[in-house]
Amino acid sequence: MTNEDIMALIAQETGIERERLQPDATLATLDISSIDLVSMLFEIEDRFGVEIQPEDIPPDSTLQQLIDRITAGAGA
Amino acid sequence: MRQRVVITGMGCVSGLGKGVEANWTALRDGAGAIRPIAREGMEGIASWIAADDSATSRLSSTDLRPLGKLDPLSLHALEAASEAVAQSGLSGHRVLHDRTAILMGCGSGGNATIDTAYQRLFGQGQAKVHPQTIPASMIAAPAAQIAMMLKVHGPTFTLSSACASSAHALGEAMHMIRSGRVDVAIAGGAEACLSQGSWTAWRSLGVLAPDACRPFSVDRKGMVLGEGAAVLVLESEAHAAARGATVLAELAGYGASSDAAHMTAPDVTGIAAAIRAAHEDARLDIDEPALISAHGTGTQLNDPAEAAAMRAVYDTALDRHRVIATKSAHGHMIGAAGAVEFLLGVRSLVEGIAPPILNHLGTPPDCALPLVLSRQAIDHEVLVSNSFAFGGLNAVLIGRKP
Repeated sequence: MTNEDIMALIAQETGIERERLQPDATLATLDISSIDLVSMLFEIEDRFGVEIQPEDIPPDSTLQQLIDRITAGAGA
Repeated sequence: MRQRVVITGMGCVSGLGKGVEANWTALRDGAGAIRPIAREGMEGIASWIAADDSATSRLSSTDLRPLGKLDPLSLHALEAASEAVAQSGLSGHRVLHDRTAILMGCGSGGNATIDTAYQRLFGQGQAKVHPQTIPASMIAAPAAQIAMMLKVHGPTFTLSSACASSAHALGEAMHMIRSGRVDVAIAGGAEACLSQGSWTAWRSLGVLAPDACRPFSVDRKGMVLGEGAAVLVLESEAHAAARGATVLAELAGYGASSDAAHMTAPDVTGIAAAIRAAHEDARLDIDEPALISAHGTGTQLNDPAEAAAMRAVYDTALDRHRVIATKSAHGHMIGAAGAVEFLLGVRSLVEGIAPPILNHLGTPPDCALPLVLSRQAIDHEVLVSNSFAFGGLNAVLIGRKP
């Protein structure tokens, strides 16, 4: 699982173009709604076996923070 | 004097193609979309839409992104609605904001989405399904998503009466305009029943033909499923005239009835009642020559019952009319059937060409009707479009040339 795999998955689940998904962008500035987030976390759990609760990812989280969280979960 | 309701835009997608032009050209030229189905877990024939047919879509990812996860049902509906509204010239018009209704007819919701969820749940023993399974599969989704895409804030909902859903939707939308509740209605229907679960349930019912759809023919063996959507923009004549819109045709009448008899067997009396009611509503004499777009499913039960109802209503005037049955080309599109058949019937009237009934092998005595078996020139002014559904739910629409 690379950062690029995760970014590709986020692009697919949110319908946001990959170029706009910069590591320092937040969920709020990207207009990723709570239902988008829940859908994304569902796919992440399915694909990478990492379970993350949506309440652990507040809207001001950056994509890098989300990626770190996933990577840490996978390593645990 | 009541408000006349006119059609100012039409859009559709079916196995015949994407867009009214592609559908009409194929139909007129006697092309059929029924062919072996190439989808996992399904064997047989259907009129299906290839997944790689997205190159010509009118929908951009910018349009679709805010609408959430989309079942094919929604994609078909949005495609047809985009085309219809673009043709009407109402894109961005202020009437969409508060004086427009959306009424979609669907026989079922997002079957593919439900299949995927159940496959996880029962097939793979997973505990969770996709979080958007409910909003993506609900039968109200297409109407809601069309409203979101076009920023329509008026009354918006899906109605369901099985195979007559979109005929009822068009008829009820016509009444919303007549009564003055709205000036414009975006109405039609959609269906995406060619997923493994729905397909298997239809097969189990034993009504699907193994070879072809042969309406009103000897050796007919049943119906053939289709998928897609058809949407029309209806508008009060006054509103259309005030903005100088091009009027394609008039939606002049609507008759509805319920057999209140049997869940799957049609009833001649109930069908005849809907046809008579439509004529009365349109103030159309039964002997005025009409192009009749039959429900014509090709099942053992429907075709003789429909023929008997037409004989009962039209009696000695029957031979003045011409009967077409376009399901032989695009299959039975269930919730979308009434709208796509009315749309193609309107186009036939305007073009002055009746498309041929396909796959006909000869007419049995109980299906004797003035059938159009090869393409012919017509000069009819009016269309009568029949839709009859499981549950004995009947809706008949009448269109008139502008």
